[in-house]
Amino acid sequence: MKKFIFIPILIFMSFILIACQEKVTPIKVTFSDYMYTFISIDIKQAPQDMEEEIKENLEQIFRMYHELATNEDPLPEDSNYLENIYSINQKTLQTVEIDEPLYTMLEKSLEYSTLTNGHFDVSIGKIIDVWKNRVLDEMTGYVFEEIPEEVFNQVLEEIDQIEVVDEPFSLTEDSGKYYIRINHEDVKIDLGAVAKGYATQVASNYIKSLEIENYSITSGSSSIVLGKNPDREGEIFIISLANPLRTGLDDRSYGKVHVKEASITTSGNYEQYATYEGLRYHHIISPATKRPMHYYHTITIIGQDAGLLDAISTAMLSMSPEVLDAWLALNQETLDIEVIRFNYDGTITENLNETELLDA
Amino acid sequence: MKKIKSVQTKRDMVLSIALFIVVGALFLLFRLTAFNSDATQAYVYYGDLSNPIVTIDFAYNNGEGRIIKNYDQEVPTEYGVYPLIDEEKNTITLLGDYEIDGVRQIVVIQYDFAKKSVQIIQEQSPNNICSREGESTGWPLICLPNRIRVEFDTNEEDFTI
Repeated sequence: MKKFIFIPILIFMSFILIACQEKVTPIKVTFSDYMYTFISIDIKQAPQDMEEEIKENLEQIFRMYHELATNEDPLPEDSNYLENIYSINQKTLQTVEIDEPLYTMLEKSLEYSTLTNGHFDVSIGKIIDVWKNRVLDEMTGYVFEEIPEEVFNQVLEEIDQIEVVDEPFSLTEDSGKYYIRINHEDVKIDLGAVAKGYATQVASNYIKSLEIENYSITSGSSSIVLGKNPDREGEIFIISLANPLRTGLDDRSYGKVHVKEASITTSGNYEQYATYEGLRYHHIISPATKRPMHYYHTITIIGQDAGLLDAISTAMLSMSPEVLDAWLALNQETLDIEVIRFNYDGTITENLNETELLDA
Repeated sequence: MKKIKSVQTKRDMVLSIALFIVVGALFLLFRLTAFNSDATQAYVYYGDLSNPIVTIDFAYNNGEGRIIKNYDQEVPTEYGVYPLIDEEKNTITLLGDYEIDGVRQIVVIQYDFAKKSVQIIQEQSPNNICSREGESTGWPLICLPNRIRVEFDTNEEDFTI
């Protein structure tokens, strides 16, 4: 009789112990001080003896790219780096020596500019500043409000005075040293549209170099890199696509996608904008028109390189549907990307291959 | 005869202990698994209202989190304005219905964005059931005499972009 009683007890206790064993605490790292966003890294299966080293190295990656790429603050006094974007922007028409990581990121930015036929341009910082300071400043601007006509016209007048330059800066390498020269006084470098994705990709490459497969990195609500998800069948992550026209709790998402071992990036007009005559004026500025464009509310891209996705999603937001269709016809296969457009009229255009856009 | 009775008593004890362990294990298992999915949001309700007074948005900015006050709690003017939100202490304070000496008592809810959890850290009621529930990551916290409840939204999505 006793044996019969203890059999179910043993089964239940074993079940509980097995369940406890599966709940391994992941390495979770979060940063709030870098890239002007909240960064969260979740590694499911890291070697325990490397936990501190991994955390330190990941922080080092984001700290380095933040310090180098910011155009808001000079380098800290005890910094080991030569220059950052803030100090380079103060030295127009001078040749300045810079560190290799910054050189490589700037080189990539020029590549992305060529790739997108100039729709991505890191040299229009002065134009971006006008929109940000006059229209989108949280204290003095018109966020989620109508821009007064007088202010709107002043902004247009101001930005029309600023020239968009063909060769805004030159990069040179000589005897293992790296240099930059800003070639025009109207140029101000702003890496805001690429640095976050670029650093996120570097962090992902580091994690993969440790042969870790199960992880996720989210940099704010716009750039995510994903490995495998061991907690779900098919090792997928389920990504909800934010509805840029949401009105309440029930319509916060317009769809979802399953993603595994890929990056997903969204650029959009919905987090911070002001309105003028019914149109949203946001922070992504077309280098061609010097204004935010109104073709799409969001562009979401799935691909393999978060830096590339960050840059080209920004560029696409300024491409008309016809231009974007033609660009995708040329580049989608080569770049191995999939695109979801939430058009300005509320319709959805999918340029997907393997991924399926599922209902919310 | 005495021997048979003694054996029966022993068996009864073993059976009782076994049942106690099985029921305990089942309860533990239920609490560990039934409400263990990651919450994206938690909603704080008062009374019979179907709109939450406060939304605790765990998923905002993929883990940064934020508190959204949807509207003020309707309370007599002598009590002041509720809810009180303290983002340094991570607390939300509402005015409950439970009265001591004719004075309504507060309910203090503490949230943790990293753990996606909520717990009632202060309330007055006869049995303190809701504060004794401890930290919840999914099961609802119901403070019945105070008519305040916290419910979780556990969507299956991992991230929002």
